[in-house]
Amino acid sequence: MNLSIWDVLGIAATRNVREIKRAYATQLRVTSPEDDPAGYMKLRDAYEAAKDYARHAEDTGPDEIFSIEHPDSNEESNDETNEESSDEPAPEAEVRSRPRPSPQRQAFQELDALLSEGKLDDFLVKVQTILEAQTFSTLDEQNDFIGEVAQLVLNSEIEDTEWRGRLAEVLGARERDNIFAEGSEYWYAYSELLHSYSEMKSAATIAHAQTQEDIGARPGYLHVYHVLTAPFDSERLMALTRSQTYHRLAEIIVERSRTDPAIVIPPENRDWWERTAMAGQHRPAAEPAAKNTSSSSSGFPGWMIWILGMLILNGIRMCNDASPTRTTSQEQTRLLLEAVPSARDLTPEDRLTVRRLASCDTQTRVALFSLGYKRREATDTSGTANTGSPRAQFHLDENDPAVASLLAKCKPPP
Amino acid sequence: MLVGIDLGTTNSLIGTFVDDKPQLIKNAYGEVLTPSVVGVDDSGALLVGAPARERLISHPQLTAASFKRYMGTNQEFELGNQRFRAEELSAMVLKSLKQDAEAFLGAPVSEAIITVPAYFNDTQRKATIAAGKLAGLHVERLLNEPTAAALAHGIANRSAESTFLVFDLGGGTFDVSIVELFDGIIEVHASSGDNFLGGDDFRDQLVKVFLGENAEALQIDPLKPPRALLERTMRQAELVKRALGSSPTATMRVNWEEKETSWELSAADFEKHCEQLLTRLARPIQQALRDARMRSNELDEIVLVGGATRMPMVRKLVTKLFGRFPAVDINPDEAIALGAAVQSALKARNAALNDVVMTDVCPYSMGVEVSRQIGEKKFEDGIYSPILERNSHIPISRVERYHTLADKQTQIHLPIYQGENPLVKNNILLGELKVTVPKKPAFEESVDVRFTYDLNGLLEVEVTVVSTGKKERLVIEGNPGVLSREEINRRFEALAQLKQHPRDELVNKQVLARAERIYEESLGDLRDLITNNLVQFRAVVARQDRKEIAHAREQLENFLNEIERTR
Repeated sequence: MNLSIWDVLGIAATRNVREIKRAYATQLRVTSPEDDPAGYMKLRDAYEAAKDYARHAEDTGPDEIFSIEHPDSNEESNDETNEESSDEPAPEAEVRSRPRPSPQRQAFQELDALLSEGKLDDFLVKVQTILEAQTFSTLDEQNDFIGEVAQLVLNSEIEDTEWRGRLAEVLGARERDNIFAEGSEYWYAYSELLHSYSEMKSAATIAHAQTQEDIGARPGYLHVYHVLTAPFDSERLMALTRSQTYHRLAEIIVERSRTDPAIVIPPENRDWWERTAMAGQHRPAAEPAAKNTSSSSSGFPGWMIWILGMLILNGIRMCNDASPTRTTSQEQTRLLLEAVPSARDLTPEDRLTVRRLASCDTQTRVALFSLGYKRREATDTSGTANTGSPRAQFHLDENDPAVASLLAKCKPPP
Repeated sequence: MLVGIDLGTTNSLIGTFVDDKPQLIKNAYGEVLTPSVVGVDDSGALLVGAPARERLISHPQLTAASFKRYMGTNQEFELGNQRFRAEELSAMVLKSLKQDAEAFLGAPVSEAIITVPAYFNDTQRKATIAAGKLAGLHVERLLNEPTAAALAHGIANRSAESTFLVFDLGGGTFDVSIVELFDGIIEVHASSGDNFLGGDDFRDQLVKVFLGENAEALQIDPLKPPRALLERTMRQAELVKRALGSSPTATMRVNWEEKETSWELSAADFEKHCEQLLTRLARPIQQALRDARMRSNELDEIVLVGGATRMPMVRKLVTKLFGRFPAVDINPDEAIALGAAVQSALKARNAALNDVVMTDVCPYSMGVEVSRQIGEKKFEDGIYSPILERNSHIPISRVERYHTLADKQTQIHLPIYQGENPLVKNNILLGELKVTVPKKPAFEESVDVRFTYDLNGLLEVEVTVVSTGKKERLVIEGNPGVLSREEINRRFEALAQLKQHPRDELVNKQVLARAERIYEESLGDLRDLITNNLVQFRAVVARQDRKEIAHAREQLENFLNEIERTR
């Protein structure tokens, strides 16, 4: 039985969100998660699909998923940078813009000036000052500020990874934690900063471990050092206090940080560590028998436990028959979007590809994605290429004639 | 009879749905809040709640508190010569609540809805169910705490249509949920949280600063204070924390080794010392908003829940972050328990609630560990492949397909993780499975892994070998934080053997414990005076005349009140 989402909801196709909600509410009383889990899952999918349908109808411009500014269109993005303060409210600016001549406006002008003069260190200091002065106090304002800075830096094409990593740090970035929803306007710019941040962090961790000749090479050292020096994460810190090996290493690192200025533990982490230690909450337990998943140490022949994390692209998704609006190309777009931030070493060429993709129209883009995936699937099944999770890598081979003809519709590389 | 229980880090409550509304049940001491503190007294009998909390000061070695933080771990707490896991201590609190409810309802209580922090993981949830079993309660449903609060708030404003954020800062955990209310439907859209952030941390921060600044006077190592001093300071810090809620300054006085150390603190100082904690509050809010794809100004209301939201600095921060004042119409201590009571009525299909439906989400992603080939005979393992995405509506069921990576591979090993990091080492291991597959060349054998997440927030995994169609419903095992069924039965028996005081004696125990605590906190002549009163009261109790005891108890309480008032 293959019901359409509208059959499940019990209404005719509509873009009226209120009507969809009402239908959902009515159906929910009959198929509640409590009494009919399977029915509820179907209803839920139909409801989400219907809301998607209604939402897409509302979109007026090109799809919002890929609203990355092309580096060439600086003019436009500068406008956006200043929209905070512009006197005529831009459509999405009504939320943040304030009628008074704002300190926010001044902040952006100064930042912009520093960047165009190439005063990079001053730029970092300025960003820090602005954050500390709480010029942007509500969550929305803070987010917009961070997003705008990320966008500004993306557009200025500064390739200095170290500097961008430091900027991310100043902005309070956390590794692999994009504060913007996938597809929102700052998502890409911010994820670019996150890459630089991760690179900076791991380079620093490795460099540091080499200076600690006595314990730097011990198992777990890199991890413990990384958790202690990374932005606060209670789950991971707590995990350190519950393992004897980790706890011992962490105590040494915390102790050394008191005398060694090269070991910088964020005050949040130090504070937490000392407070929980004082309160008697560090209770390291002996580790259970090594639960190592790597074959080399598990005692099993390697081939027995290796598995391949291959997610078959058209893999079975429960109830996807109930969501006809999610087309394969949308699915692929989603996967690509996931692929970009998780590739650990995004090369400059990759970045370029993504920027070029951002400059072409939706149809071309989707066609390029599909092509990219087809090519990759082909290499996957032959088992020779660099395979893995589809979220990991996405390459467009410009020598491929089909790819080249599509790429020609995009703007040329700057 | 089905009841709703809020099993908190600091306090626990029990409620039920009567006369078409949720109602909280008072304990033997006439309070709805039962401190989540467990101890044994000098005769080896169990003490739960208020008397145990008093004894944290006088008998720290015989008392345990804040054990909720250790749910789902193998940690054991020492009470005298006995050792207990967090589940067992929680079970003792649950048992005490159950007795209160039975006394109130006049009927046996065998089923309960228990609330857990939304951000509790699979292991912690299983531990909570085990605690219920140990207390002789069948856990009908685990309910996320902010969802419970949303239920209480939603039922009270049933006709409204709104989207609100529940900001739940309890004693030990912090949760944020974004909830939409329309047509009698209460829908959670996104939840996020921090399992290690609560009112206790603000208190401990005060303790830390106090001990640091007075280390010389006290002659201690501020990072390793003696347990008795720590407990004493914690109590004083708690009092100061509360006092600073209404007055601009407060003085902390700690007696240690016959000397009083006093320390004056202003509300502004307190806030400055807690700056690091306050910053941590913003992140879960940000995450929840991002996952719900909302800006904070689209929220109609901010609902504050949990005792720690009474702190002015927390309210101030919320006001700043959202650019407006939070709602004030609910009691932050009681909202969760009231919501649990509402859920018990929903579950029992109470006619008063027949138009209400609530839906919830799972706040974190879950998946398996995979390896990928990165070259000729070269593999990279430790990669996380999520199957269920965070903030999916529950119940939910999803399938992904994985295949073999080596020729003649006979087994597929599936470690199961929870978390958001692309590398499994940064996520939480929930357990692991092994599946046997036919010997074939690499890539030719595959398995479908189905994850089903139920309304309790518990995960079930089903694996199907694609080539043979062989299905295996596998139980996740080998997680050290989860008790096995046999172990639960064994411990259930052991707990039942523990000596307990008859209910009508508890009030006396509590007053005695309080007197002992005040004795510990006092000096010199006052101590003698307290001792005299104690001896007298004990003598009265020994005579077993109810009326006389009640009278003497009242006198002793007045005396103690007087001491605390003038201090």
